[in-house]
Amino acid sequence: MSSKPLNCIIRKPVTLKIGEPRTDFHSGAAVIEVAMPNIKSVDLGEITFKNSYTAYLTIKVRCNFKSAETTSKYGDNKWKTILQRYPLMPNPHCEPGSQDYFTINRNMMCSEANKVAAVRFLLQQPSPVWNHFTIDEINLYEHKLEAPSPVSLPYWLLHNDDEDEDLVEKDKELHIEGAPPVDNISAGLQQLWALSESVRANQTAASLGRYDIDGCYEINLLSYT
Amino acid sequence: MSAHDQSEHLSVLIAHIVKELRGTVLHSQLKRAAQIQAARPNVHLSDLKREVHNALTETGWERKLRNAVYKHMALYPKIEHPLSSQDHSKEPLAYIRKAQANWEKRILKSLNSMCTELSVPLARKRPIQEQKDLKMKWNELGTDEPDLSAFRPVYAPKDFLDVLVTIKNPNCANSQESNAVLHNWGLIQLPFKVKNMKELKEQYWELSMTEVQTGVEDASDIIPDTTETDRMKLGKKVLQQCHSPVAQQFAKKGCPPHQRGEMWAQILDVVSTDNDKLYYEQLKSYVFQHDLLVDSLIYKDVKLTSTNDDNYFVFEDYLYQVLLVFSRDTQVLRHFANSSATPAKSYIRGKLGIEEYAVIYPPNGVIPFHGFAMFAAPLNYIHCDPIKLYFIFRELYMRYFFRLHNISSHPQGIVALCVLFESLLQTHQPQLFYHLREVGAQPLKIAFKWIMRAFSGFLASDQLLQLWDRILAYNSLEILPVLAMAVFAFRRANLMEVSTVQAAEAVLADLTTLKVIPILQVAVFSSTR
Repeated sequence: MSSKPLNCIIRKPVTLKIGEPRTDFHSGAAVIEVAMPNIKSVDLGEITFKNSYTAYLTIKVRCNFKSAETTSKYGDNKWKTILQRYPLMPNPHCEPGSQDYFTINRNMMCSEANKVAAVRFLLQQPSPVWNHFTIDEINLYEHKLEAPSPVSLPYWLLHNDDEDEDLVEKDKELHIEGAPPVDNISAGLQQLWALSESVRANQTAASLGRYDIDGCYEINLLSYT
Repeated sequence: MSAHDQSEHLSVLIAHIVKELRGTVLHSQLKRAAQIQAARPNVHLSDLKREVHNALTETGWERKLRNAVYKHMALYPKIEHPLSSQDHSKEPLAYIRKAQANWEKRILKSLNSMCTELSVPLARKRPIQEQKDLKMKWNELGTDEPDLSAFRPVYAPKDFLDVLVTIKNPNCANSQESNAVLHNWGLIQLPFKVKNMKELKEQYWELSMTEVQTGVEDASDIIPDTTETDRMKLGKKVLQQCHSPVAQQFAKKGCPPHQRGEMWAQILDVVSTDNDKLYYEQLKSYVFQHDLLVDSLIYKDVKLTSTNDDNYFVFEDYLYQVLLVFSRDTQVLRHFANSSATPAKSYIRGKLGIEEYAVIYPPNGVIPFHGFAMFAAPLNYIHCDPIKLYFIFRELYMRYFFRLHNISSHPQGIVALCVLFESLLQTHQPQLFYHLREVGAQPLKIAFKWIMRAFSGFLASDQLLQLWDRILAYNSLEILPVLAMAVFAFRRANLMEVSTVQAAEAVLADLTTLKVIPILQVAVFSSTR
């Protein structure tokens, strides 16, 4: 998952109505428009949000292709569906899934969300059980291709052709009377270090089972916070 | 879930289980066994891994590891979304979280007020003489008759039901009466997803009338002996396997009484080692060191419930030995990861608000209520050793019983079980439900105490143990509301005659003559819907 979410303006959900604006008809559908003001076009990687009683989600994006790149199907500024009626609540009348967090990533999308200029979330909640439905905490993340980071090679690997003879001579000079050769010492130290690291890594997290603090467990009242 | 997501989930799960198992006794035992195998003379260095692996499988260690992994998978809380907070992962619905928090506050207030009224500290260190006295009396704590008249239980099932009835989803159109969409006749008006009879039939198909069950065929007059011997023979083979899933599958049709203890120990993977005995002794020493208010509550509860019950009064001493130790066991705190509840906190005297002096009260985080002792009482019939009894009780509580007294949206939480009971009764016994409502006797008011205590103290002890066999075997508490509905259906004829609440309660007051499995079979498998 990438680091920071994209900067976007998320409008309030607009309930879709049929017929006269004044008729009291709950269509069970709403739209959330998301505009990205400073970004001309971006490749979408992930979308995360928290559900609030929405049953099905459809996501449409408007792509910013130059006219030469588009095929005849998608003209300029047409809306493309990247997620079709994805069920957030397995049973729209019942609680499971109603307040869960969701992540939509690229392999769940049915078409490529490249060069996206605007996003629309279509929410559907056909059940009459609920008063309101929406999704909260929407965050969009950019799709970054993983480039292999260059590994820096150590100096001695890159520059070892001319100075070989010098190094060998230096080795001889460092030999101290009575002590084992430097290589053996360093090998032994390395082993010790490896052992201590493995012990440190294998610390058990099991608790001792003590519930008191230094033998004291005098309690008068329970705390409400 | 896509294949990629599944493999990711699997690797996270494996990493978690490995981490959990690293700190256990089994890990060091496995290492030692592997070392012994590797030191054998005919093992070559080239295929050391394969040889040791095969040797461990042959000597039964791989089975033990499998059981441990199975146990962890049963307890492992589901993978949470990276964005969900800790509160959200314990309980995703905000209004349920609020209800549980209010309920916990009420319990704390009740305990605090009892404390101040009686001027008894919540916890104190026992003086040396008192510790010695207690140590001497440990095996006969039942003979102690302390004055407990001033103590009262923190809450009873009736109080809990009153709280559950008031929970409402603020987003639910049902909240305004004129707009009622959920047509539930019952007390709980929450849109939880519960199973219908068809799904229950599939889940509990091994209980059907065409399958031989312990508790049915061996109690009848026709072929009791052969059924019993057949089941016992099969049970013996199952026990030899020492494999939890196999034992669980066997228990679906009931356990023969003599094999029940061992079978439950295998299903729950409770292996009694010397370490466990030492741990129990350590907990016992904690009981001697500190006196908790919760101890008096436990005493009172045992005296009120178990000692008045013909089936369990003989086990009074064992109950104290199990429950007093249970309150001091900090391992129980692990189950709070799966629960919507949070343990009560307090501060060592004088250091209010300073986090380093914060402790959990009681040490296991569980405040007992009226009837809590009845969760442990039936277990006395399957184990006579209090240590093994203790570990089985602890495992049962951490897997199942904690759900019966916490408010949660979990499909096996007490709220969902109540919704399941009412929906089953309304669907399959509408006339009965309607009649009882007219009379003023809401069925849940009568059935709630059965479900909250898992029928302990209401059924005959052998029938109760058969019921609990199925809870373990199918790994679900849903059988409790199904049985409650089956009981109502069974006594339907009498219930349709009643015209007052008291008469309805009188019809259902005594369940000790009921045979649990046959009435379950009739209710589930002879319904046409």
